[in-house]
Amino acid sequence: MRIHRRQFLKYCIGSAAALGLPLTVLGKLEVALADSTSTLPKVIWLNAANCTGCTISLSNLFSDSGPTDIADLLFNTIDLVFHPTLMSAAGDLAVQQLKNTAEGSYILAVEGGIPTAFGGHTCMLWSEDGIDVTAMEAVQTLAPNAAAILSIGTCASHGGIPAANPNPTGIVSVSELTGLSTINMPGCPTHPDWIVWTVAHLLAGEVPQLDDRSRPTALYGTEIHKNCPRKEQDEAKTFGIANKCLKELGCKGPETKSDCPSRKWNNGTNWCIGAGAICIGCTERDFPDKFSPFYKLEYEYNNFEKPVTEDPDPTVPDQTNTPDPEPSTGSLEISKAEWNEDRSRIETKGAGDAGQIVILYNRDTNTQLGAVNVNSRGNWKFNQKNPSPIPQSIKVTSGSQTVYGDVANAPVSA
Amino acid sequence: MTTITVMDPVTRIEGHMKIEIEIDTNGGQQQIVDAHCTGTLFRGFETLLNGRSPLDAPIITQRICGVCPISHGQAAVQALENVSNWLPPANARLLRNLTLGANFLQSHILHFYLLAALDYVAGPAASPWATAWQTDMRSGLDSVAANLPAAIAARRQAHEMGAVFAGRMPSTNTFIPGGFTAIPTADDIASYKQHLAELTAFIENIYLPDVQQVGDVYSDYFEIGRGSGNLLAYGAFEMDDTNSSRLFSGGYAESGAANIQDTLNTNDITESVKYSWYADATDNLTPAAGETQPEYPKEGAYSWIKAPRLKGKPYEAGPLARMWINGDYNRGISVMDRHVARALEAKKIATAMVGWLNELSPGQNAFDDNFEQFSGFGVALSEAPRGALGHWVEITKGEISHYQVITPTCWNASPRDDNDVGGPMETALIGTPIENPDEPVEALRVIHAYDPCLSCAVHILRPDQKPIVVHTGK
Repeated sequence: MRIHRRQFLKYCIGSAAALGLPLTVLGKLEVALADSTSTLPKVIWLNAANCTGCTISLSNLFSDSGPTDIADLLFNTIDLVFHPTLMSAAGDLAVQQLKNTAEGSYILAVEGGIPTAFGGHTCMLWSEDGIDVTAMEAVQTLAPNAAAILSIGTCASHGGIPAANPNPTGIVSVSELTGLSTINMPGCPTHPDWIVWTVAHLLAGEVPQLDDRSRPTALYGTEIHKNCPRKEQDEAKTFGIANKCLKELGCKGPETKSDCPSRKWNNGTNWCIGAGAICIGCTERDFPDKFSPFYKLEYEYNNFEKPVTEDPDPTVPDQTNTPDPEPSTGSLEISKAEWNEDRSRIETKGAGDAGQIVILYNRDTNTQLGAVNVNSRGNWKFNQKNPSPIPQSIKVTSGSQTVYGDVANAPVSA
Repeated sequence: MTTITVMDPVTRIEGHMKIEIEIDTNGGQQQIVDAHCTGTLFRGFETLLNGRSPLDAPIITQRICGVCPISHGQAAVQALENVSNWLPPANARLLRNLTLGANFLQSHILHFYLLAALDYVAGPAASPWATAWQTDMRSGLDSVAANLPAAIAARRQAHEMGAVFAGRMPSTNTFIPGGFTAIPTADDIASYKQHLAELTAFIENIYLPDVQQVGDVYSDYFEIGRGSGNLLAYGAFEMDDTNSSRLFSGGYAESGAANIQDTLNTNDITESVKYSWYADATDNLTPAAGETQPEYPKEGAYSWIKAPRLKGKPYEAGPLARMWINGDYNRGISVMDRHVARALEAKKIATAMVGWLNELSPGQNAFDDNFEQFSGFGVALSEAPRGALGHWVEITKGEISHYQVITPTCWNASPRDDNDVGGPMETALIGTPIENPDEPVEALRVIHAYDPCLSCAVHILRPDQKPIVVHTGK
């Protein structure tokens, strides 16, 4: 296919400052793109254990000069032969396109980590003659012959959120799977400029300088906090206060490297910290487990304990058919049960044994409304918005005790 | 003679999917006589949420899907607040609505132009669109194809609009229990308003007319792909601070009935696993009690998607269901009705967004630090662009002890249930006329109309049984 290289060059020159492209790359790119006899490598993009967020983020590409956006990029700059979210072809026609391309020169871009548990069968990309091809097999086949391997986003680069403890599907990164060098562009999602910046280097025949995690140092060289406009500000103790440093609330800016503070997101519109939100460390290798829990907000969780339920036996009818027991005489009481029409909720409270769990049911349907713990003063309180249906009466149980109450002001259902 | 065709991969969807269709001649017409839909990616999000801080849920669950992360963020934050029966301050409600609305607009535009339209019009002469099936591509829609670059720009602009408050799209860290981290300034509001005006013009002047035009040229698709006929919405976009009304109310309509049931009891929702790779002992549990006990292989099973059912019946979720339940649309239930309802919904949401912008109090905090997170149960019923989305959470001693997500694509792409009734998409495929079994574009049209999001279908894997197949494109 004919590629309008001049436009890509124009884009890179026009955006050189924003993209951070060094002049040496621009010069080589100019030479490479001026040679109309050469063909640019085609791009094969595989969706492994991904969420498509990085593809969507790439679609947010915008610039003042060509490629002005993803359409221009695809029309005029790169030959994206295979991308399951975007391509017209489906089924064997799509697979055939990929196979034809794999015989020539291509860049392999992988979005998503590679599941290895269950023989890799938790992620099947296509089938050939009735045999499913796993992401693991596809990457192992395509990676060794690729001109370059781009790990798009944190999942392909390092495993990412689906690889978080306990890594249910045994996900590994592309380089862990193949043992090959990849250019990692982590970020959850990654930034469209980071992809274009890297592709520009490759087209110019340059391999960008990479750090010890195979990220381009020009993009991921500095901790976010060092360039954060809020770093000199007082530290916020709660959210929703303008222009404070969010470190004490859990911001991972001090431990996370990327150029987010200057580049920002969505065509320079804003960025996480600019919206008063913490950096979650999404460009780092050990995201998310190293940073989870993300927030330093401390709440006093009540000492609710998970009600012990027996495994349901499907052969035994549920309690719906069991007659209600007689009300108990003990500490368990309902002191309030009423419908608050203005707030559209049922409001209940009562007494019980401190620390015990109280479970509330809609007595009309014998379905569970919820559960609370009795506090240290021997009281419990339970409100619920928009229960459906609105109970006319409730059943409350705690241990072996059961009591009942009518719900005052409950609208009579039609 | 019956041919069985496997289409794998199904492209232009979010996620990984394969369909197997059986084609035969029935009443003189070649058509689909049976269909099985299978998702082919499983990541186990519910497992990796266990034991984590509840406050992490909005961040983690947004990575279920990169097309509709905001819907997961909204459902997660509302489920956590529901544990404490907490309602956020006005600005938080409005900023969440505006972020969610921005993402609905980007998703609807993305869906029509980039995922669905190429089943009806030839794409541009560039990879990844140059190679395509030629079957039943009708003329008269060049102007729709010509609008692709404008649509791509509009979609991008919807995300730029969302980032004004949310910091970054597609996923955001601004959704936290207790409110929203950003404080809207007058400048932000003005900038958002400008984006919204331009997007509204796109929806009215380009998107709606283009859908209309595709509907005119392919008017037979108003009669194809009815599916289960049952429609379900959970509702979304809170209109007041007491949570008493929403832009879209929840409810359901059986068999396309005009009589809308507006009382939805989540205890009426069960998940059948007869044809899914889960232990039969976990059959027909409600989401709050839902268990995920894999059993593979299992006789007769062909999917890792469970089959959610309301009162034992399959229901379709999505824009058509929301518009139908709320009295905004009632022409019919079909492939083309889904596209028309989606476009009309984009306009309805964009209009409501102007109101939310005007309600915002500039300079006012959207986070209430009186918020207290408790342990206990919480549920949120909300909407993703592609349909009803529910999150169920249980917090024990400050940790997530149970998390369950039922996504719209679980409803739409579900396998058969205990009564051997297929999911909406499987049912919709049956009876669809097929001109050329080697290029079953008609099946793609039916599938794409639901805007399936297979990453969202949390419990999914693949069947191992290999029928004798005739491959497409041979």
